Amino acid sequence: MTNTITMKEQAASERSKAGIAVWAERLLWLSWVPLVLFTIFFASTPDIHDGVHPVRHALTIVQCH
Amino acid sequence: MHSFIMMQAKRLLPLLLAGLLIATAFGFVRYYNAYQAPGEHWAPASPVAHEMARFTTDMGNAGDFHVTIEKLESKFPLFFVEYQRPGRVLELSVHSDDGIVRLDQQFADEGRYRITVQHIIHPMHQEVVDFTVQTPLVKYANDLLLGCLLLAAGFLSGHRLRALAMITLVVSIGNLASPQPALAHGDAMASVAAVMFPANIDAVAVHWLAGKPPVGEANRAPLDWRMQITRDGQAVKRAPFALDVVHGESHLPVLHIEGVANGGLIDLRYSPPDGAHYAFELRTVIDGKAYHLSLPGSAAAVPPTLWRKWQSFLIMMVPLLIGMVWGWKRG
Repeated sequence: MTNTITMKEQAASERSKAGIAVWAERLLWLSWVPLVLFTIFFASTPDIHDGVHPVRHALTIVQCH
Repeated sequence: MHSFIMMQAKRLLPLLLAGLLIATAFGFVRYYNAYQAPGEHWAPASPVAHEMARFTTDMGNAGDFHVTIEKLESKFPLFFVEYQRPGRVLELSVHSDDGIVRLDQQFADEGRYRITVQHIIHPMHQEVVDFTVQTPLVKYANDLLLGCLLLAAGFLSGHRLRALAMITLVVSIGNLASPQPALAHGDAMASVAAVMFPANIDAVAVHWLAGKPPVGEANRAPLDWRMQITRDGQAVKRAPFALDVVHGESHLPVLHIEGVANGGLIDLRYSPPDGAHYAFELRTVIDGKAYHLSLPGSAAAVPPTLWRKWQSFLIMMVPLLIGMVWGWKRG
């Protein structure tokens, strides 16, 4: 009896872990492009800003300064 | 009947494609010709932003002239970032011995502009030309490329090809086709210092009329760049001059004016196209001797507002979301 409960609990815990992994992956898929765009074009980190400077000026829709 | 039509269509298809190719080629030739079209007799019809536009007008006789350049309106600011606000960009009073007024200028952004050259004593004697500063073709190509990349990234996200998508996008964005020659910003005082010339040869010097260079933002109201040429501390009576305003990092001039400085005064109010350091390089001839003088100046950068960043970001989201939906459905 005790053993069965443990196995059930374990299975449930694994399922929830899998669920978290699936959700984490979905979140990653949804957010990676916006995050990359934000970092490249809109974050005000000086090193990145200077590094991608010509890219900003190469587009009509992104303002450098 | 139906299959007959299909057969005819298949036979015509290569012909239609050939026609389309030829029409596209002609279209490009037409567009490219219009891109470089001459304008009025003294002003380019549509100069390209970030490239020198040359204005030359013959006002007939020697005289003092007032030159103004103003921005009338910006080009659809949602898609074409507005760097310069509408309003005055340049005000210059200059004397011309041959009656020809010359000015070269690089514009910060696209839009409708107006140049006016007016005789100071006879204000009715004037030339006014409206012109459109246009977007460099390469920017359209880059926008299109970014759109395609975002579409592809969205599609791949839909397909869950994580590693591949990450590498593709990062590498491709790094290689965005031929970026603009850098109108870069930063501390370029070193390079400005490198082109400075001793200002006191024969005690001829140039200095800011206000005693110090103006402080203010680029692409806003014109800053007071009035300067005076002196000899032994006294203003020179008359000095033919050519002045270049040179960008501290690209080392390219953004403004070039010529004329005669009566009383040694160069009466210039001007809004530079970029937040950067500038070298005001002056060539002048006084009593038959040529001098090359230089003054450093700078304009502060105006960072984009939060609202502007959001606008650009949301526009980029459109192709991404289309790609994601597409990839999701195909996956």
